[in-house]
Parts: sequence; C-alpha cells; structure tokens
Amino acid sequence: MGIKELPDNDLAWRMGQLAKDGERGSGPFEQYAEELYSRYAKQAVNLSCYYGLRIDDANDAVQTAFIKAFRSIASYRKDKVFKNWFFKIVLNCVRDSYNQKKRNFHSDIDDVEIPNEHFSKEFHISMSIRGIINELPDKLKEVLILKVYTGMSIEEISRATGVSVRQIHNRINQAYTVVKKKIEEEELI
Amino acid sequence: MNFQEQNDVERLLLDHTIEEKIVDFHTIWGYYKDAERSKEVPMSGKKGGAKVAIWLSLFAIVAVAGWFGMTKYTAMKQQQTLESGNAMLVTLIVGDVEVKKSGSGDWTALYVDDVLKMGDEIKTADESYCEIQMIGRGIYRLESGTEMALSQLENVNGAVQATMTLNSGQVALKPEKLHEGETFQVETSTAIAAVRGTRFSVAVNGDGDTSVAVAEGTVAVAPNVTAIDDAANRGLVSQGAADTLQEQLVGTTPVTAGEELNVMTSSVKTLDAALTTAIETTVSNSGAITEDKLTAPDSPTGQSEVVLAVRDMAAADVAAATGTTAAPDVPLGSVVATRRAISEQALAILDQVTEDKIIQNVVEMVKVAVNSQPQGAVVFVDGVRVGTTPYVQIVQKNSEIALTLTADGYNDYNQTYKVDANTRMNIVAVMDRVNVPVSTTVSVEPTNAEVAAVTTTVAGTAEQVAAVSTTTTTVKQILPGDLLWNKSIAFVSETKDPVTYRGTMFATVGNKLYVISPNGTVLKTVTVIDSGTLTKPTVGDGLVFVGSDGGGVWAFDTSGNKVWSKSDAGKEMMGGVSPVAGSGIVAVPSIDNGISVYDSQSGATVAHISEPQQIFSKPLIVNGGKILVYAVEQGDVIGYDLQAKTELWRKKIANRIIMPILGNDSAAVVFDRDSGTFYGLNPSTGDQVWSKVLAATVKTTYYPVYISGKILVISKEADKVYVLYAKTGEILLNKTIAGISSYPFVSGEWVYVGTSSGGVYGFNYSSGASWSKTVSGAVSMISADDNGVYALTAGTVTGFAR
Repeated sequence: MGIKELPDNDLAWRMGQLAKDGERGSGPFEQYAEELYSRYAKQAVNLSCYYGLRIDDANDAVQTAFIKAFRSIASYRKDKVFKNWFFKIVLNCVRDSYNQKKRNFHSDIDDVEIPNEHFSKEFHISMSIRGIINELPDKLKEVLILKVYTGMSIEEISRATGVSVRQIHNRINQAYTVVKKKIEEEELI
Repeated sequence: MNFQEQNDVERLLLDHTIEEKIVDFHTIWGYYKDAERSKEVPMSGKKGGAKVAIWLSLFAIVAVAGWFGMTKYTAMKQQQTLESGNAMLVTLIVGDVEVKKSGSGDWTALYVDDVLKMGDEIKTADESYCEIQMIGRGIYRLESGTEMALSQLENVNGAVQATMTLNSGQVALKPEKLHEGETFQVETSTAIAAVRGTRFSVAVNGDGDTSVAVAEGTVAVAPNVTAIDDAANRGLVSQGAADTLQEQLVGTTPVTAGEELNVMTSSVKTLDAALTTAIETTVSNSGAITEDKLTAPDSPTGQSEVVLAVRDMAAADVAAATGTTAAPDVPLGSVVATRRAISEQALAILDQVTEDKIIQNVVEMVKVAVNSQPQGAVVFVDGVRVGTTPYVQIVQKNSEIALTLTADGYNDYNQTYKVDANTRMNIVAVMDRVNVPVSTTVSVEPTNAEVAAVTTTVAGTAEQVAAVSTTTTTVKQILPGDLLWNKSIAFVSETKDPVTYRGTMFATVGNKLYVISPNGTVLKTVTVIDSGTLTKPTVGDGLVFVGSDGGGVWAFDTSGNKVWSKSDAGKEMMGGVSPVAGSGIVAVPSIDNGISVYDSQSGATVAHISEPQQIFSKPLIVNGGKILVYAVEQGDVIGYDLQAKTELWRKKIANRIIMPILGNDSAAVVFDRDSGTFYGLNPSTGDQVWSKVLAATVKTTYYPVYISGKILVISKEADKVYVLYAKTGEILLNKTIAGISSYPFVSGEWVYVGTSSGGVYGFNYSSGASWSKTVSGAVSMISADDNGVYALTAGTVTGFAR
C-alpha cells in the first residue's frame, strides 16, 4: 500500500514509531509528514482565517500546530481518530494566536489591504460571510468552523472540544441561525 | 432550524468559502528541523576548561532564573484559570479517586490540589469521596461509587457555564449566588437539574433512575427527553417550535427545600416514546410543526391547537402505560416524577456542602496534611467525620479547624489549629494509648528530631513507654527526606513482596498473613492455613486476597478479618503468581486447574477458565472486569471475555512467560524475561502496541510492579531501576543503583528504592529531583504514602518525609 492509500492514523502511528526510534528527521518521517500536511493544511488555514486571523497569522498558527503535532507524534495512539487529535492542537494554536492578536490589536496604515481588481461581488459576499463568522461568540464560532470547514462529524467535534454531543447540536443550530439571520439582514444573497 | 435548513446554510457557507494560499510543506519542514535541532543543544568545537565553566555558570544562572520565572508564570496562569471558572480545584480526597483527563484514555489517581478542566471525568471507589471547588463560585462533593464528567466548564464572556454529567452515584453541590447568564446544572440520562444559588444533590442508580434532593432554595428539574430534539433534527419540528414544545409539553418541575424528586428511567422512556408517536401523527395529519402554528392561543391555557393535539395523544399513551393522568395545565414532565420528603441520607450529605467551605480566591488557600501515630485514626474536622489519616485537605487561609482524631485503644486527640501557613501546613499527631500498666520510671526522649516535641516522664517498660509518651506535636515545615521517626519492631523481615493498601501494609510469610501499620507495628497475624505456603497478598475492591500452593483463595478486610474463602481454586505456583483483584472480581490462576474467577465481595463463582497449560504468571483484569488477560508458561498470551465466557484472542509472545501481566485498559504489558523484552498489547485485540528491550533486565529475579499507569522494573543483577509508561513503553526513569535489596515503590511521581548497604533513595522522574538517606542494615522493603516513606530493615522501620 502506497503512502497515499494509508489511513491517517496509520501514517501518524508510523511517524510515532520512527520518533520513538530516534528517526524524527528521517526520509520516511518527512514523507509521512508531507502526506499529512497535504491532507490537512488547507482545512487548518481555512479554519484559522474563519476564526478571525489574517492570512499571515493563520499560516503562522497552522505552522506552529503542525510542528507541535510532529514533535508530539510519539504520544499519538493508533486507536484515536487522527483528525480529532490534530484539530485539537490546531484549535489551541489558533485560539492562542487569536487572543494574543485581539489583545495587541492595532492596524498600521501599511497593513490595511487596498481593494484591487479582485474585489468582485463574489469576493464581497465571501468576505462578508467570513466577517459574520468572525464575530460569532467563540463557542459558536468554533463548532461552526469545525463542522463546515473541516468536515468533522458532531461526535468528532464533541471529542475534539470536550463538549457534549447535545451541546454541540445546540451550538451548531444557534450558530447557523445567527449566520442565516445576518446574511438575510445584510442582503448578501 | 430544521435539518434541511441547517443543510442549506452549510451549503451556502461552503459555496462562498475563500480558499487561502497556504505555505508549502518544505517551509514548515525547515522550521520543524530547526525546532528539533534546538532541542539537541550542539556543543561545537573544543573549549578551554575555564570557558566551559563560565558558560556553564551563566547557563545555570539563566536556567535557575528561568525556572523561578516559569514556576511563577505557571502559578499565575493557574490562578487565573481557576478564578475565571475555567477550571476546578480538588480540595479533599478520601480513599480511591481517579481522573480521566480530557483526551486521555487512562484513569489515573487524583490528588488534592489537582486542577480539573472541561472534558475531564472523575470516579470515586467504594468508601471513597472527594470535594472539588470552583474558586469563589461553588463546591461539589462526589460520594462513593460516583462517576461524573465535567461536560461544560467555561467562562463565556464573563458568565460561567458549568454542566456536570452524572453517570452513576451521587453528587451534592452548593453554588454561590450566580451572576446573570451563569449556569450550574447537573445532567443524568433521565433528568437535568438546573439551579441558581441553592444547595442540592443529584443521585443516579444503576438503572439511570435519578433523584434530586434540595436543602435550600429551588431547583428546576426537567426529564431528559430527546423526542423533540430528534423530531427537530428530522425536520418534523422547526427549532423555534422545538423550544416552545419542550417548554409547554415537557416543562420543568420545581423542587423546593425539604423535598426530593425521583425521575424513573422507564417513565422517561415512556414519555419519550409517547411524544415521538404524537409528533409523528400530528405531522402526518397537518404537516411540519412550525413556530407559526404555535403562536395563536387556541385554549384557556394559552396553548395552540397543535400543542394540545400532541399533548392529548402523548398524555393518553403515558396514562395507558403508567396509569397516571396529567392535569390539563401541568406539563407532562411532572407525570414522570414522584415527590417525597427529603431523606436523612441526602440531608447528611448536603450538610457537607456549605457556603463557608467555598474558597474565595487562590492566594488564600492552604493545604493541610494530617497524619497520626497510629496511622488510620478517624479524623473529625469541626465535629464532622471527614476520613482517616493520612488526610489532606485544602482550606481557606486563617480559618480555624477543630481537629479530633480517634482510634481504638487510644485517647481522643483534640486540638484547634489556626491555618496561618502560606501554602502548606503539616500536622502530625501522636496519640496516647489508653490504660497501659506501668512499673518503672524512664525518661523519654523525643523520637523525631525534626519535630518540636514536648514529653512527659512516664513509667513503664521501654516498649510501653514508646506508646504512652504524651508527645504533643506542633506544626513545622518538613522537607523531603527528613527523618520522621525510627522505631524498633519485633517483625519478621522475610516477607514476600508486601503491599501497601489504604494506609496499611500486608505481607505473607509461610502460612501466615501479617497486617502491619506503616510505622512497623504488627496489627494482626492471621494463620490462614495449617500447612503449606501462601502466595504474596494482592489487594483490590477494598479487600486483601491470598492464595496458596495447596489451592484455595481467602479474602480479608483491611483489618485482617476473614470475609470469605473458597477451596475450589487450583494450586498456585509460588513466586510471581498471586490472585488478582479489581472491578468486582478476583481471579486465581493455577498450575492444575486453569483460572477460577469469583465475585470479590461475596466469593460467588463468576467463571472458570479451563486452561490445560500451567499458569506461572499473575493475570490482568481490564475493561471494568470484562476482559482477563493471562499467559501460560509456554509463552501464549490470552485475552478472555468474562461476560461471554469465550476466548477473544491468543498470541504467542515468547518461549516462556513467568512474570506477571501488568498494565491497564490501554496496554497489557508482557515481560519476556529471557530476552529482557517488554511488549505492550492491546487488551481487547492482542495487537502489539509497543515493545521495548531492556537488556539489563534479562533473567532479573525481581518481578515488575504496576503502580498508577507505570511499570516498575528493577534488575538487582545489573544495578538498574527503570520506570516505563505502561501505555507507550516510554522510559520515564533509568537509574543505576548498586546493591538494590528492596522492591522499589512508586508513589505519585516519586520512586523509592532501598539497598543492601542501607541506602534509601527517592527519585522524581518528572522533575529530576532526588534525595538519599542511610539507615542501619540492608533495606528489605520500602513503601510510601502521602506523608512518609518507610524503609524496613531487619527489625526496624524508619520513616522519612516525602
């Protein structure tokens, strides 16, 4: 079975075994790491942006999350769902970065992005939706992002966040209701 | 919002997703390699001795300053977390209490001062209980046999949201007056009890029946029905309508002070089924139930036609099933609950959760440790029985505690202490023996040089004097490794692998079982069999068990009183084999009759595993007593399903297995002594999870020991001590100690070991801290509890502070 066909938990477990054997920087370790990166980097960056981070900060947070995951891969247990384990790390990194940015928030004139030729109607809708999601209370925002942009199931989100399944149901429902209402109010669609 | 509407929103969001550019993998890989390299701290080039010394000194200064800084930082962070309501503090533990941290699969021991967060689970064993506090906000007390999860514990925009899921047992709680938007609730499979500033308890039995008792204020109890949520998820009911239906059909039942409300699982299921049928019927007649249909009041009760229709149908079904008819203006939820006066038992538990116990802030809490001689004395604080020594509790600084200790054969010890220490206060009480005959006059010197002591002149033999000296101990900071006391005892030191359990040591020699206090006093000697040899003792489920080379098994309580015995268990191989107990069963392996499994409390036969091959090793009970993992001498390891009474798996692991199977639900650890290889197996499947070769352990004569998730391995022959993490095989400690002569003992993060030259060593495998002391003679046994480390040499026990 080639690397592409290996399930996530198998890849992660193999990396863990290599790490335990002192082979953290080896060729196979890097190959497995690259495969996991190709599977989840985009989802992780999307999650970070929808959480409220700018793209540079999102890439930094995701980079930190991957490095943390690779360095602690020896503690990964094969019977765990890799996605839950990994996105728990991502969420922690994103939260840290977001809280830090929120505290130190300031906007230099040089940082302000000037609308350019990409500023189309579609771009306006998408950015507005992202803004609506950014502004949700953290507990609603987290479950919505995990559900929509990582494709995790309710049960998986419950495990990754430590919140009961019932609560996740309620939060998703609340989050969707708020988002729908705001989209309608702003007449985006 | 129904399922379809949710799908529509999700699709809309996905359609308008902005795909951001991500950095390429090789950039991240470069950073990862840098991070790994920085861990290695390369030392390139040779440096002169002076330069190296200067660099090392500078490094040491920076490291020490950094350590203090980090410690301070960590403490501050912890304080913030606790005071914000995002975590809870363990303030009292009595008996065996375990925690499963969020994201971990393992239960590990919980200690006073531990911090609990959202997603953590706690369970208390029989005769055990604990108190946890949300600083400045409330106190929870978990009674024995309780399993509870901290499902939600977070500060959301300044409002604390606390939901505990009670799976079994009983919890009593007293929250402070809550602020706007804050939630304190306890959820079981059948009911949700929500509160604002009151005092109440929730209990759930094995069938899920829930009982809510209230001592102050009012609690709103709602049966935990899922029919309406399910209907909303299926699109039969809109979300807005679901909330209205929940309120009007199910509702909450108020429970006031002095009342107890019982919610039966069977009744909740009946109501759930009735509501499901009624909703489906209504929807098939008149379409999905939406908010519009619920707005116009069509009845004197203000309920709409649809609600009335669903209610009538469901009420009829419930009445048919239970014989109880709901009054028209009462929500159906009240039908499934029965009310009565609060029980004495519930009141007694609620008396333990009072407002004055709630710690107001982190900097004002003090850890109070109480120990006594003799150990095991019953402790009363402010007249309330709180446990036995050794006892630890966290209390508010500058509070006063009236301490009373009682023990059979001793005068009561009464003393009031003002808790004015900054962080920790140690109290060691030496109790006076009652009515000791005296004949000669002897002056008694204090036995503990480290503790300020006042002695009186008494009369008696030297042994009696030790007992009658009225030593009043004052409070003093004791450091790890400090001598506590040193006492000569008349006890045989030829014990086989003694075990320490609930503050008492148990050991067997020949046909006798000895019950020994940690300070070396033989409390009881039991002649178990007329002839033959007993196995080493094993403990679990509150009892002590021994087998014998002639067959049979005996169960004793922790005072050494026989509880039951069985003669049909097979003969046990001497050495590493002993019965194994836990999760309500005891399994007795044998060389001639397979494995006999009994109910640990009654001795009733649970199963018998026919195994034609000889068993030389102690088995392992996992998965709450559902699976037994054992090995036969010829090297096969077997997983046996005790419920289905079938073999789950059988794997050939080694040529010969004679060492005990150790571990927990995460890994069954098998030791091949011939090759020095340890294998971690998945207990459910037998799949190998990890393996580790420790060459120094080849042919070791000491049996590995399991304590709190760790495997302790020593090789007297190679002067080695290892601690392995059972789950992963990771080596937590690797020490070389010459002349090891005792089994090591693990307590918390500390490992203790004794040597033939009288060395007593303590190592912390987490912080790297260590200490060593010397006693006279070879150390044959070592054990520890919350307050001391006890080293046994021929005829003497010495106690050191941890």
